[in-house]
Amino acid sequence: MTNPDGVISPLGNTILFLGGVRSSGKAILVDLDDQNLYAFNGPKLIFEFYCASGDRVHPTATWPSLYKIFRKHEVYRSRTYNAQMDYAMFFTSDGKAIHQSNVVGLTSVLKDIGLNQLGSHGCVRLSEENAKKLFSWAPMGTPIFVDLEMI
Amino acid sequence: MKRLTILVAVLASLILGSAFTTIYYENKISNIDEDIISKEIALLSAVPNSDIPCSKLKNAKNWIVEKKGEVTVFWKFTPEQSRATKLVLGKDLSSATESFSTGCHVN
Repeated sequence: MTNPDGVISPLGNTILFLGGVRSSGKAILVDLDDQNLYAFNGPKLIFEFYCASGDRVHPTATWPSLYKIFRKHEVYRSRTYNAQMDYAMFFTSDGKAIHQSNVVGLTSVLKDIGLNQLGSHGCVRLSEENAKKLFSWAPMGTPIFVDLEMI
Repeated sequence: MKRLTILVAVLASLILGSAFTTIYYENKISNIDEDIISKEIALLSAVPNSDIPCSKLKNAKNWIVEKKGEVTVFWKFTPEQSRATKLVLGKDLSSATESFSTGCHVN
């Protein structure tokens, strides 16, 4: 039996094994409270990026959740519609992804201070430079913890 | 002085207004793209590529159709290129397609 990647804390508002507690391997933590994304290699923090998650109607998560990257596309282009997603790393079966977006900075700040009107439809958006770095760094199967607060 | 103050206020309002309008619409466009692509990925993920019915496809000249739960999947294999195409049709008639390399011809 393998050890679980995360455990819900007794208060139910965070996943333990985060913030450097996970002992080995690459992991991504999306902190919805601070609108930050952290990339860890074991306990070592590799990247800290600001991000923009889902808006009030389409939250990325309402409960601490653990996923894995199961599909990566440097450029995903819809064959049916004129829609494109760059540096997309999909982590839920309903198609939520970490990806590049042009509207991250201000959205992230607004969400950080509690204004959730703007935001994605569940995806985690990063600036182009940061999305490119994370895409190159994170292999398929990398665990993604969507968390409500950083411990 | 008064005119200058008014001018500065109007300019500041214009700049702020256009910045927020741009961000609002960029956000809206990104949301539409996300909805479309998320739907497609959900459909494609509903049927893994490993489910390809190689034995049926090897002798088929047309698309092979299978019902998988709530989705219908169409398969086509091109032996010359060792590639297969998968088209997934949802119950709401939304669709997604992808092409991938496969070793069907050697099985």
